[in-house]
Amino acid sequence: MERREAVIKISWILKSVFLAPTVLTVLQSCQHEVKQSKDLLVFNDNQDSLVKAIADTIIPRTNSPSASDVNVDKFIDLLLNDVFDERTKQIFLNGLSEFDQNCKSVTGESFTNLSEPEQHIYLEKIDKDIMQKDYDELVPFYYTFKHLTITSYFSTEQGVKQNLNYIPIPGPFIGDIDLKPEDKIIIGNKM
Amino acid sequence: MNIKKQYEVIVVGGGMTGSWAAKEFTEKGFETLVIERGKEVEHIKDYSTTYNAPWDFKYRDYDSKEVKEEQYMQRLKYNFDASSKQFYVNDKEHPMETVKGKPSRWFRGFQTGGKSLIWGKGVYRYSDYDFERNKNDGNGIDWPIRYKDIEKWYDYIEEFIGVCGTNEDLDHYPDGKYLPPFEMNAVEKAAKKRLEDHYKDRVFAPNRVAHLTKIKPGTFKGRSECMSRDMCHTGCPFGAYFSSNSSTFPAAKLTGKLTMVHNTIVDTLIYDETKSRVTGVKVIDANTNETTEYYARVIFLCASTLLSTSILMRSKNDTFPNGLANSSGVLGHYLIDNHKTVVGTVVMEGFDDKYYKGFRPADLVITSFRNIKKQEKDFYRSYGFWGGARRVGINPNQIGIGKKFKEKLTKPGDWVMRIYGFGESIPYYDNKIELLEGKKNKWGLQIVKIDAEFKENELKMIKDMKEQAQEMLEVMGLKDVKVTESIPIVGNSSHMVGTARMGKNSKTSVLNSFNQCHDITNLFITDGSCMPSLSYKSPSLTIMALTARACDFAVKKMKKGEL
Repeated sequence: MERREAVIKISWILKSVFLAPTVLTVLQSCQHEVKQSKDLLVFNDNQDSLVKAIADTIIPRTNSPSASDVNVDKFIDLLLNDVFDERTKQIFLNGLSEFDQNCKSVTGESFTNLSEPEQHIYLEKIDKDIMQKDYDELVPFYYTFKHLTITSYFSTEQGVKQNLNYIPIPGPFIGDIDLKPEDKIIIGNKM
Repeated sequence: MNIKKQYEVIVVGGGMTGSWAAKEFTEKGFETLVIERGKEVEHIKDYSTTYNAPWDFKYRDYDSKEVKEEQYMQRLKYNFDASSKQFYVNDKEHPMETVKGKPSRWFRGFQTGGKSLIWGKGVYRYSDYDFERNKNDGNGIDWPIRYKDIEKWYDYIEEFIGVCGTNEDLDHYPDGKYLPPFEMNAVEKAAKKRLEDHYKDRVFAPNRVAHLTKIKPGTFKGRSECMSRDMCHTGCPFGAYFSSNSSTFPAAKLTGKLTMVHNTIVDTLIYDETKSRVTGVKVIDANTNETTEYYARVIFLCASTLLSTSILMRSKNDTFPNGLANSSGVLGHYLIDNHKTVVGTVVMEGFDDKYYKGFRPADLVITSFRNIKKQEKDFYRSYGFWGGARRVGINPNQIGIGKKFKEKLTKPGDWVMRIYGFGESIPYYDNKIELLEGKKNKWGLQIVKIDAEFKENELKMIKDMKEQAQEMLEVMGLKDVKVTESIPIVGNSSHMVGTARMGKNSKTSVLNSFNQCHDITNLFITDGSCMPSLSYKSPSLTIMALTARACDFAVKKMKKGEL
């Protein structure tokens, strides 16, 4: 229905008031020199590392895989190349770049250079700021990023099988069962 | 040009109604040819995605740029995704046109079974209130039949296809022959009680759908009970919902009287002016463009609402310069669809310890409560709501990151009740289709233009639907009621009917009460194009019943040598 891609209408990006124009220029010139891995279609290695770092801060490794363990970064890379239009791709890449510039302005470090606890503390604040608001069509970059990370993760085999109650053929429908506190979401093959 | 053999009956279109015509004629012993313009889809064998998990698809539930380009319209259908796209046409190969300011959509499935593989499965009997609607409010022409004329055919179809549901004893929502309904969940049971206690005129009940829930051993040959995967749109390997592929065609094949050709597009009907009869069809091989003629005593058009009408328009001749069998001049006019624009949700509190097992492939229905027995609002006709309650699954749109959040994501979320309305539109002469002069598809056939819109009456109804959705959701649950409305688009409900309507008078209709052309007695049309009006209830059961009834009529005439 309208579910698919509704969230991809990103045309509004997190703007940082702290951001100095000089930082922007330096960062952009650096990125041009970064070479691109063979198995990535859009991201260069720096962008890919950043995507992995943010995604793994949202979904870290526990007794089940992290976001990057199941290649969420590669799936987002694929979507940017084969699914989204050029404009959306550019907005996403700009958003990613601004995310890191913002991090640098606030913490003095690129997000990937922070320790895991520092990444968590920094992102938790961003997350709260962004996710507590209601949006209509336009959503900030991070909102889209989080959505893509989580939905991609839970559409992978390990993401589903190691976290949820995967029942592809449930049998006759039972309308009313009790839910215990330890019970997980029951999920099948319907997308 | 190839000339092929004579059949007793030719059925154009291998979808829902065509498969019924095939079954009825072959079971009565008539050599029948079914001509399907799309590819062959064999039950079970060709359901290539039905056991796939999301991770088996390269883009999961996203449409690639290629799909967005090739199936730009089909992809807007609610059950279109990577697992069902093979059952929808390529829009670039099958273009259509609309009129500026009047957007419309046309969802099509060209294959064995047609759209019966991807339909919504709702099956409803029309009551006399439905059949008399045109007559009573003066819009459109009177149906030439009443409930008593079709009742036994409703019984006949329901018993064969398998329909689950409840009997509700409402005269405007006639009961039928039902298998046990799909179960309701705890929240739906509570909502039902609240709604029915509050409104004495409303019923909230499990939907009537063509699914096998619980069946006796040895019944519904080759089919088995629903496994609640909610994967119907991929084709069901259990044959648990009715499709032509799982049900009617296997029955027709058993007779040994069925011949079916695929990838074969009917260009025109062959008309014999001296006898005032159609004698056969001229077809185009979709792959080679080679043309062939097939002949028969009787021809049934079951190609879908717009396509059966298009064939008649293409088959115009000196006797019928405005389209074959169109002495009335109404061919192509009175195109009707349901409008489906109002959607509402409410969060249902207090059922955190309740859940369900499986993915029910059907909703519940709130039956009509407007203008049923008399005109009482400032708009004509009626509407109903469908919907149900589910727990929110993976929900990325909430605050949180990290290990605890990851754990929280795996827990079933809020209960949300969601309802959506279907409304009846009155028939309008100027809602119509035309064939475009000079614009042709790759087989040299003129492209169809849909020129239709919902008008003031429907917009008034939508306003009332929105208010009622808000009120009913407040009665059900109170918290966070949200009701939205989108632009009504003709075709969006996939319930397009009309354009070759039935009627008592040959001056105002194309077909008589048995779906036989007034002008050409051995030509019948039994798909949605025959309908003079459309209830808020989906037309599928009614066109299946009309098909079986028309076949019975034709068989009797053929046996007497009158056709």
